[in-house]
Amino acid sequence: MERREHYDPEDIESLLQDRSFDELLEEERAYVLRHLSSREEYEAMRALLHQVREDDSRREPVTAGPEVRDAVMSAFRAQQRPSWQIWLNSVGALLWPKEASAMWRPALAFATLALLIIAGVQVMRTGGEAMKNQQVVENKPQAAEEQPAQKVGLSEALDSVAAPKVAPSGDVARKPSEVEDELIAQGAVSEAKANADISVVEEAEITTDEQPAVTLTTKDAAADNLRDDKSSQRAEREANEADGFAAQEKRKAEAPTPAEPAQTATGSHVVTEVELLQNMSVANTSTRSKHVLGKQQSESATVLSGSPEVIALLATGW
Amino acid sequence: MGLFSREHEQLSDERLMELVVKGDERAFGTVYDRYHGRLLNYFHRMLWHDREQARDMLQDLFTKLAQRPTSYDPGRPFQTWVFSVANNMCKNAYRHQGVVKAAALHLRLEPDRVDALDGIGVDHGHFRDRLGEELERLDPDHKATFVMRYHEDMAIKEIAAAFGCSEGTVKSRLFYTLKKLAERMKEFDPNALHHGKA
Repeated sequence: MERREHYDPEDIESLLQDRSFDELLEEERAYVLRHLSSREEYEAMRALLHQVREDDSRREPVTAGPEVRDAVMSAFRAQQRPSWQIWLNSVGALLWPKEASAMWRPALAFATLALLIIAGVQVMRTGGEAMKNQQVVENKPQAAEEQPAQKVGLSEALDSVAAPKVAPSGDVARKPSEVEDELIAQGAVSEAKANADISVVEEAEITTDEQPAVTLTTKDAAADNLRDDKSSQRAEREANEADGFAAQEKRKAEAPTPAEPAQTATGSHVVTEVELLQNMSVANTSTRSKHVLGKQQSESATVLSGSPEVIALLATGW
Repeated sequence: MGLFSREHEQLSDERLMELVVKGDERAFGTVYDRYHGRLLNYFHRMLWHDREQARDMLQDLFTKLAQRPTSYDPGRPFQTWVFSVANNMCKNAYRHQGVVKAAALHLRLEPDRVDALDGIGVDHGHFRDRLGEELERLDPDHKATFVMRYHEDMAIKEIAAAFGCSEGTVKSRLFYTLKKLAERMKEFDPNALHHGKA
């Protein structure tokens, strides 16, 4: 009973393969007959199983030709082929189509696309050039506006160099008679000549304070001019007297207010070498003219002190 | 070259498939050489002994494997996996050609059985045809189980893995298939013929 429990209906297969019904044990026969109707059924199943085995061993196996293997292996190679090769193949097929007549539509489409691209690029180029030209046109007025400003600055700088030579001392701006009166009142007639030289130097310093690049040069030039021109003062004074006063008057008329040169000088204009040289020449010129003016003033003071009218005035109690 | 070939032949199916997934052409060739005969005969038995169709099915199977080697589940034995794929392909073939084959089978069910019954010995050619006819009548799963077990000599466990069922189910299918075939093919039972003549 215990052994029967180990059998299942499916396990009859092992009995069918190994033993005939007569070879079965009593327990095995009982087990077989519980699932099969009779001994004949068991034997028929056993015979069928053996015939199947025998037939299978006699049967010639079906074989696949080498073409099947080649096809399968080529499929595997195609799958493993790099993508760039596939891409190149597609390009090749596009460039050299088997049926060229069927390619006129794509060719027309590509040609149209290429023309559109070229036209677009051309339009963009011309548009860019127009934009550049417009910018140049817009920039030109600005440059034109900037250049006069520089000129004004330069002229103002020139004026600033020229104008203070009269203003601080106030001697030239006034009439000679008033100067003489002041000089007499101050009793500085004897010192007028020396003061005139000092004032010239101071004037140069005041003038060049607004343009530091020119200051030293102007001072040196003034000093040199003082030394060099002492000997020729008198000759030049007489020759330049009229011109000096005329130039002073002209500058006086054209001179801006004292604040203006400072504003222009403190601008962001960068002094170039040419402007520096120009300023130096202007400074030298202005310094020389100032020097001449100082000489004139001292001369006038000397002349007044030597005149009998002034002496008479002084004698009467002035 | 020969050394590498021998190395591939010694590798297991599963290891070869790992190499196939990595693009090893030689491994793929080894897998094909190892299984193409069995699969071709399986298709031949399952698909009405049609050799051309069996070859087409074999080529389709390995082409699919070449195109998608990752479809193989590494957690399963390759043999059971590939036979389950083959079995599914046969089922699809049954569905598509069911009507045609049913008509052909009806025509082929009219053979003269007298020739087989005349001799005591078994006409193996006729037995083969009769067995094929009777197998066609069976349920596809029962037929495939029978072919795998008695033609491909696959173990019960492997068949169960291929079908995704229990071993008991496979044994039960085999038992009732044998019982049914024996009942339908009694004429090939030498004992029955002997008893009948006696």
